[in-house]
Amino acid sequence: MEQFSVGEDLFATLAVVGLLVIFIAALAHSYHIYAERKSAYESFDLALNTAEDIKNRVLAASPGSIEWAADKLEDYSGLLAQQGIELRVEIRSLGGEVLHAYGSEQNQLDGYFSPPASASLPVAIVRGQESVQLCELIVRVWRG
Amino acid sequence: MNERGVGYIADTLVFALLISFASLLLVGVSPTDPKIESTRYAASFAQSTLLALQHSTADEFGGFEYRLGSPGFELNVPVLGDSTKRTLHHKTLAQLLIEDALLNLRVEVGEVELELSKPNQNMKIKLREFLKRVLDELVGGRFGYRLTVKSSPVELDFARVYFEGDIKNLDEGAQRKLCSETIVATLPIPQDELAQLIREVLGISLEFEPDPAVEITLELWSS
Repeated sequence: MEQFSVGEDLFATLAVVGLLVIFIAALAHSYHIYAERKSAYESFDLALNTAEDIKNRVLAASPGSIEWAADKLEDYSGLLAQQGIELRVEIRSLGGEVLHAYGSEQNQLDGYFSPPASASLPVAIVRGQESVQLCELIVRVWRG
Repeated sequence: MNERGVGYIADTLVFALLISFASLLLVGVSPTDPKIESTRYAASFAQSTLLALQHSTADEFGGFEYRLGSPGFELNVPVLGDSTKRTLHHKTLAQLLIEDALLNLRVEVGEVELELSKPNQNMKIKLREFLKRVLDELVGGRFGYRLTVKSSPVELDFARVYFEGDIKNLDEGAQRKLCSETIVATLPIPQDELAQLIREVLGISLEFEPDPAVEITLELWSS
């Protein structure tokens, strides 16, 4: 029967377990980075799709121009909310001034668990009769 | 430590090696190709820009006006008043881009391009400056760009005639062409006027009506 030697075997066990823990932590961290990157791409894809949808369909006045209508955005936002997606839409002038906005800002705690993704596209917004302004449509989405 | 202990340690080290290999793979592998994402965004951005340019007028960017004359010499005679001044506030940016191309008639005989006298150089220079300022504001900072306006070439027996203009902002950092989007627009002048314009420059009579369509192409480059 083999004798258990406390000094050497315990040290070896601790070293091996410690090494394993370090490597498994590294693996978990790598997976976390991978998953975060994947999620960022998916979120950006969603933001871009949503921006294109709003520009080409929801608020479209003619190809390339939009007309602001908060009620249409509310209906569209409701559809997204059914899939657990929150939405904020801003129309900014090229100088950065917010001309129109829809949806609430994401709070900091939610932002920690589900970082928002945003996409912006240039649009011409119809303002009054035959007057248009070149602006930027900014769409921000996140999982609620 | 006995032989079994050494065996366990060796097994664990091999296991750790496999884990570190898997970690490295996960860090290196990207779930999506970033180039595909940036190309898709650039294409959407370029298309939106081209469409938006068809709606916005020069007025929005402070307007565009010029005086008849040539560089260094303006017809700024008090007697004439403002009669030499042309204001193009109402024109859309796309129309101005096409006008810029119209000021740049190109004639190729064989493979050789003829040097033609360019009228309205003053307007051309000011128009370029104006359009570049607008495009820098809209696109610059995010992407490098090259915007080209080109008419369908008119093939003559002895020459090839077309209008072309381009405005670009490609700094040294521009690495890779992300996308190229094109829209087709019509020239803002009637076909007979266009034929007359070509007649005046080339001094020949044309017995056909050239196609008044122009292609506006926006290329975006990563910066």
